[in-house]
Amino acid sequence: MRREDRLRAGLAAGLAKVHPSDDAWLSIHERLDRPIVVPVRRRIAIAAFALLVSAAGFLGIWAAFDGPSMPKPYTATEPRSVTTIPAVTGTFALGERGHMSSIAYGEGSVWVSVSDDAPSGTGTIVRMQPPHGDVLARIPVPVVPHWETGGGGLSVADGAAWIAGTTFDPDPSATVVRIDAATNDVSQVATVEGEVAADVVERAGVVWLLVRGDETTPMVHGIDAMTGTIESTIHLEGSYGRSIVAVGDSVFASVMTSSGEHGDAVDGTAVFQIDPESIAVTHREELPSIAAVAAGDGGLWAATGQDLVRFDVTSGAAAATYEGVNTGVSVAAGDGGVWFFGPAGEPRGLARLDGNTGEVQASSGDEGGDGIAVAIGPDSAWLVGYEGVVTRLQMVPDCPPVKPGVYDPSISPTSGSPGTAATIRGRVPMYAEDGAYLPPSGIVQVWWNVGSAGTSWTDLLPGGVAPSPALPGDVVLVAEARMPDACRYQATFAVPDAGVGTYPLTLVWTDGEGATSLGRGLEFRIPG
Amino acid sequence: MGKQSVDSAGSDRLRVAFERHYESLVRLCTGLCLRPDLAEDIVQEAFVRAASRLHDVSEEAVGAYLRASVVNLWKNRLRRLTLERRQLTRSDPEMVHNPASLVDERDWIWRLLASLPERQRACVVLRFYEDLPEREVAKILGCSIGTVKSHTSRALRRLEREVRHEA
Repeated sequence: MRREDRLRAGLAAGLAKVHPSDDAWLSIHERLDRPIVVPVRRRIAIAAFALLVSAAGFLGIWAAFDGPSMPKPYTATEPRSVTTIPAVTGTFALGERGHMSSIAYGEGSVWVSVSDDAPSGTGTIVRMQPPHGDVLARIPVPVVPHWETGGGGLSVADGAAWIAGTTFDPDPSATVVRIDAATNDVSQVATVEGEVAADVVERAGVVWLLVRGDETTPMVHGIDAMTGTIESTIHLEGSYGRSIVAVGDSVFASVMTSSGEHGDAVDGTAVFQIDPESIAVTHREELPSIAAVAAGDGGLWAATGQDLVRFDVTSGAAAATYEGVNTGVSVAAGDGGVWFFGPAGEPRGLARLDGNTGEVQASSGDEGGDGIAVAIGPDSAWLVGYEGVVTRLQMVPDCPPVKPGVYDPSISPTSGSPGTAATIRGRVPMYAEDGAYLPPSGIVQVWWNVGSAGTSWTDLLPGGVAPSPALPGDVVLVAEARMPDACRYQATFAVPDAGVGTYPLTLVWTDGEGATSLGRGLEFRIPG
Repeated sequence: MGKQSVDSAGSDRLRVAFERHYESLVRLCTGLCLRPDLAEDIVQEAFVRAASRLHDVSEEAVGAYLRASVVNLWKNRLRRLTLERRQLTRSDPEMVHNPASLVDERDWIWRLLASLPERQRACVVLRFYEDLPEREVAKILGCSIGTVKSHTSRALRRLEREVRHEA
């Protein structure tokens, strides 16, 4: 890697760990409201200057006081931030039931593998664009990952997506596929020694492919990313290889281990730290159950079913355990947290361990019910489910529940003359007319319909796009409320200059791209 | 004494600017001063100062405006910190604050940044974290493009030494 690139990567990774405090906005408000303290020396200078001005003439001072009045002091109306919890903020149907196998985030996209369920092992990689889940491409591939749960076999790095799977022609062969992220084309297919490819990760021009080990012990191939040729192979002791990640200066491979009288009970996990330079195992850490391993934010994590284990990526040893968080065996790390859902057959709400505070925030639902695997994107987690649906989750304010379809904004006062200050208030979370969840990151616009006759509000939202403030006719945008991280929003506006009558107001939610009506409007009366 | 006055439109603009730029500015400033707490203080100060002026700044230019403000405040604070350090050194050399103490010193990038003189560090962060062209970095730091080039080159040589040392 060039030294400039290394520096760029180092700065990006190092500074990504810096997270501002939650109450920063409040602090800025407090500072705005705080009297401006002028240092003594400066005060003396100002006083001297004022005397000079007064000496210049009373008229000048009079003119200064006779200027335009000062604007009113700003009053903070934003409520303090509240606790956030994971919540479903979008669902996207991608494939058929039982055909989904893995999910990964990288190159600004969410990548999902969908099996053709054919004997050949072929399938499709669906590339989606956050935050709205638009499908950018459906890329046919000769192999897809074939794990039933927990994901893996799909990773994205350095301008490419890598898929590990098995081709059957007719005998099984471990295969790795490269998709060029710039063109969405399959640019390389390499078949290597071994039957079943378990997982893959690319790091600095080397593709590390973990082969499950059906005929031999599990092994890791180091493959030249350009040519697809094997440069190194290392065998690992255990029953079958499960996952491989690159973090810190090491590559880590997890291998399921067996116990019992005949060694036929797969009930443990060994996490091997591999030095990519010497191709040697530098540490082996044993976990007493089947575990999922994930890397993110420069850290390494294992979900053991009950506990979450954090590793020291330098020594390769377990460094901390978060006990009893009911992790299941799917885990993803990144964006300052670790996401997981509970084991099958138990309540499977999504949960997130905050990497800074160590607190676990669990969702209130069972979004993980049919979950296979999780990937982390910016400000969101993406869950691929057995039913063929990808679910987007975000941290949202932990507010009292508002039922879908409930329309609760209010206006106060409800009548007054033009120029009266009126305030619209409503609760978060909100739902559109069709019951869709509206994330608290958007804007609520208040539209005043000065002349209601013949104006249809659905006409104002063609194609779900926010109406332009420059709309012709009688429709006026009077206020906007930005969604704070809180359980309520509000916006104050001056009643427009209109004649006596009762006027409808409509609230529109928009996130800058899409828009939707919040349903039945409010009314404001201008009395005679 | 007075108060900062911001009307409601100004407040909305400030809120939008906060949502779009606050976190990235705190990271940039942490790269400059190596102290997340100080970085937040500086960035908040920049927002407070910008509150009544944002109406004069086009929406596209708000990020650059705030970034320049943050770098200026950091430079001012740097002068003050230098004075404080001098006073502390005179009174109690043990109390001189280690600038890198609030970031993870095990991380090579923090060690590298802490080892660089302030202006070299600023060039590196603006050039390779903010991805600004040399001309822009020179404008923000108030120096020539040649100075930016030489600072950056020295910093990269130091990076090579750091990498060799690690190896």
